[in-house]
Amino acid sequence: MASTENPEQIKQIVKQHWVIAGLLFTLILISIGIAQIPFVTWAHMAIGLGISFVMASLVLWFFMHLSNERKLIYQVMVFSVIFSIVLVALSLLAYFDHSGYNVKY
Amino acid sequence: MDIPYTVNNRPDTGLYNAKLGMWLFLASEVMLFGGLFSAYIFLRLGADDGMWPHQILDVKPAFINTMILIISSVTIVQSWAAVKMGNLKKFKLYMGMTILLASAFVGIKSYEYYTKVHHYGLITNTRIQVTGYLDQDKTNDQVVAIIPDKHQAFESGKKFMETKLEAGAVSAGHHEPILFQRSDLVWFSNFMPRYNTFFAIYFTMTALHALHVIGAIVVLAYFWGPGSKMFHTNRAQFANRIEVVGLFWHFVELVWIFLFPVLYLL
Repeated sequence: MASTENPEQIKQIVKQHWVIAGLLFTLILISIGIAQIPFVTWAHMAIGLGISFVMASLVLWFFMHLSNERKLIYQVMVFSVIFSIVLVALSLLAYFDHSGYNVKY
Repeated sequence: MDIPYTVNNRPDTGLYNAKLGMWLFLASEVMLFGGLFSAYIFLRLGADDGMWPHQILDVKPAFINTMILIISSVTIVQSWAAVKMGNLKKFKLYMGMTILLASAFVGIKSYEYYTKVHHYGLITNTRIQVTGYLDQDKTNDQVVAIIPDKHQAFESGKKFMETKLEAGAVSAGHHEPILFQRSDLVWFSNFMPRYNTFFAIYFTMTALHALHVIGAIVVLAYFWGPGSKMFHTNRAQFANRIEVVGLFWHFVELVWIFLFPVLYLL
């Protein structure tokens, strides 16, 4: 939701949200469809999470109006996303570090 | 004393205070859920072959919930647009719809939890996992009678069912219970967090998410009810409040966009 007072612009924003909602709906259906195809696990994970990232980007960019936000917001979000990526990377590192020893967590 | 910068932007940040506060809060939320997703990856990678359930959860209610969140994301924007346009009636309509949709989400989630409470699984001393619903009449202190699921979530369960079918012990056309001696079982439980790590992380993540939805319902209901008085006294600030709660609601949807495929599809 952007900071605007122009009625035409407000109507445009609402219209845009319906279009994005339609896109999200389509992507969810694609995710469900792909889940039924017997791929190997890593391919399922890659495709499924890839679609989720696209959907999340749509929500962030259009619903949360990150496309039209102040620099400060980007800095805050980039920091928290990097923090999360590091957390995931640590888990992966721990897993692969021990996989050679056939240790299961 | 008035709280500063509730309507106009602060010169140094370029944002009004509530918006900056919400984004900072959302940043902390990203880290919170990031930690949980990290834990999920760790548990999933570390699971023994065939022990991590595959598509054990019913996709239909989760799909409906996804649709609910997507639609409610639009209705909350429409409620904000109605405030901006000075239409209180439309605001109440769209905000009311958002609250109803959010409540429906919680209702469907509760139904899902209810089905988990009544869904059982067991592991025999030969490491076979079978899932299904209990036959209460035939279950007693010595015997567990389980009506097996058509689609076994664990590889060992599928093999066991095939063996039983070949032996004629189970009719393919009828859901007849399979009887297990309790002394032969190493694990028997309903699908609660104690069942396995999958359900532990499933309940942790979905319950935390559901708590966010419930929290949002309380705030949305306040703005729909007593909080809407501000529409007449300070409409610009009220619009900002709706914008900020909208940001939170979109974030709730964002988290679900990852939870849905990770827990239900992959």
